[in-house]
Amino acid sequence: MTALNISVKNLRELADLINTVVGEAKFKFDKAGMLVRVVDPAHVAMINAEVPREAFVEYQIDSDEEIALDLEKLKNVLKLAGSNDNVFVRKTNDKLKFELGTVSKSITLLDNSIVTVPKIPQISSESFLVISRGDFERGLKAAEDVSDAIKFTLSPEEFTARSASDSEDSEMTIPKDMLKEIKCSGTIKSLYPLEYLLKFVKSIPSSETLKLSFKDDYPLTIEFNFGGSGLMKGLFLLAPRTE
Amino acid sequence: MQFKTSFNIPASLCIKCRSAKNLCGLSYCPILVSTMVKPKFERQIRNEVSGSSPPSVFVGRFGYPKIKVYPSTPPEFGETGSYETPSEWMKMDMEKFLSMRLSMLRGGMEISVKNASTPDSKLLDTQLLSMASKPVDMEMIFSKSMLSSKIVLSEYTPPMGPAAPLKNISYGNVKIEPYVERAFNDTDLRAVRAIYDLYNRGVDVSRLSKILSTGAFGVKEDRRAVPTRWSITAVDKNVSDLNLKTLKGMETVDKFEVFVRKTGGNLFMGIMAPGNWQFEWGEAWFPGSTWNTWGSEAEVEIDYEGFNGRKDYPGIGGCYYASRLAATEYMLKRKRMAIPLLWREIYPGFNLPVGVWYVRENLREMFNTRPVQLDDIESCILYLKTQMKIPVEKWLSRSTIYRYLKAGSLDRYIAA
Repeated sequence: MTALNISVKNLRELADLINTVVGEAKFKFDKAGMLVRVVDPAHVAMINAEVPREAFVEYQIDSDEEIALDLEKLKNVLKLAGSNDNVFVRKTNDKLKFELGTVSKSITLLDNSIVTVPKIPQISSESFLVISRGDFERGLKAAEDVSDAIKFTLSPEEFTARSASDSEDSEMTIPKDMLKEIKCSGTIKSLYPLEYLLKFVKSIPSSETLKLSFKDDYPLTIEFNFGGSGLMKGLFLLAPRTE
Repeated sequence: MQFKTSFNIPASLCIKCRSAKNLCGLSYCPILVSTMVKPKFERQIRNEVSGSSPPSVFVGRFGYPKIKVYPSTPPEFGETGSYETPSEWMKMDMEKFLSMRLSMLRGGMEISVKNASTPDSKLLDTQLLSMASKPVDMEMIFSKSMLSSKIVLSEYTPPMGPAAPLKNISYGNVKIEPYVERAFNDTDLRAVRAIYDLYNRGVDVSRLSKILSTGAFGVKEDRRAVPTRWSITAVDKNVSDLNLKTLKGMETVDKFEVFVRKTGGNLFMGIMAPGNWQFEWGEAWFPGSTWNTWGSEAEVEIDYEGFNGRKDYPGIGGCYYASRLAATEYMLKRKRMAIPLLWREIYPGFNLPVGVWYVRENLREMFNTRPVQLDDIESCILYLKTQMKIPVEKWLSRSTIYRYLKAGSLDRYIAA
């Protein structure tokens, strides 16, 4: 029998995060914890989230398990609870039962064979920077009504995010001493679709920091921790757009 | 009544051509149109006209919010429904279509758009007329003779028949489907809701925009007359928005589907690409077509939206939403999400602004044909390249979605 107890806040953050790219997702459970990996239908953005068993208040599984869910339904159930509550979740046959204090509610599981888990691309880049989520979001928001793409440039001196259309442009420049960390030997640049970045950044809490790595015309990787204790590990991948 | 054209075509050319070869370069023959229109006005029409209205109502936009509403009818009785049905126009040649549109006599009345919520009897009659499902026998009395009005065929104004100020209007039985009448009588029902409910019951958007234009739908105190041009786009946009709501969340097509449709003076092309909603509509106007009179080479314009839609009105205008409607209709029928890239080339000689219905209906027809299925965007472009007349680079350099499809996926980083 699978039975879990987790803080509502953590589960809500997870649901919001993966809901930025998909509507349905498959959660995999094993001894180490839970893993969910999703890709949007156009295969532009991917999210990989790992929730170790320590992030749960209670974590009981008999064997490896897969649970496919409609995220909208999950989010609706979580709306019934306060942020400081814990939710007790139990799987019975084709249903998932949630107990939230005085309220209990169950939702139907999706057929595991319908929801596929994507393969993870082979991506590695040497250069990276660590930036606060707040700073990063400000640069994206500046570009929001300018264009649908944003260009990142990283040099040993600074990180810039630039966007331009025929009539308008926006630019954010952060010198290296305002970045939390930086590793870069030459100058690299790449263009990314803005829409995915904005949705992603909005879904994670403002206190977190983000580690961005990329190279010339290459997918962007963002590593981050989330959840109250920072125990949950996330990875966001985004395909580049060519000019 | 005079019939004029704004073109100077040498008579010697017409004598050689006799409307058979389109030597003047137009996509229709002005002489033929004129000879088709004239007999309809043989009976001298001065201060009154009677006929079967298809039904037809035109609402002008000049002077907004004080505008003119024109109920109209051809001077003939019987089955005139095809005068007002875009899907029927598709089956006609250009001359027949133009002669029909030009023979619609229009009686104009000036109203304030707000009058639609408390219509006087003339406006109320016009609202009922706009809802009719069958042609309505009617008589209009004008306060000025129709004889002084001209029929003008020009590349700058849509083909419309002559008009005179309306003094009185009377008509016979008006047949309205009960569900349409209910929407009119329901003064708590929002116009958008009424439109979408009726659309789903099979009422075509061309009728819905006509009803919307007379201000016959909506919450009572908010009812407004809407200029025809705006009402057409309002219906195309709102219906396609609601279609999209159903589509978002559906699975996507698994291969690239390519469509082509050729018409007199136009080429329509469509790619339905796998992926979550994005959309583009592009037009290439050749020199000598309606909106590229002065240029020396074809001009390409593309408007685009991402998954969450647009915040502003597309520069390209109403055709954007007419094409978006046709695309969502196809996708709903197919029960699949896709990324539509829709392009149109407009060739020299196609120089009458015929209206956005031309785009909507041609694309509907195009989507009724069997697509070519291909594996990637490059193969689609290679295929379309053989159909199009402008250099393919012109399209590709303007297309955001093409660039996105070409490089924007993580797939190529996944080890096989």
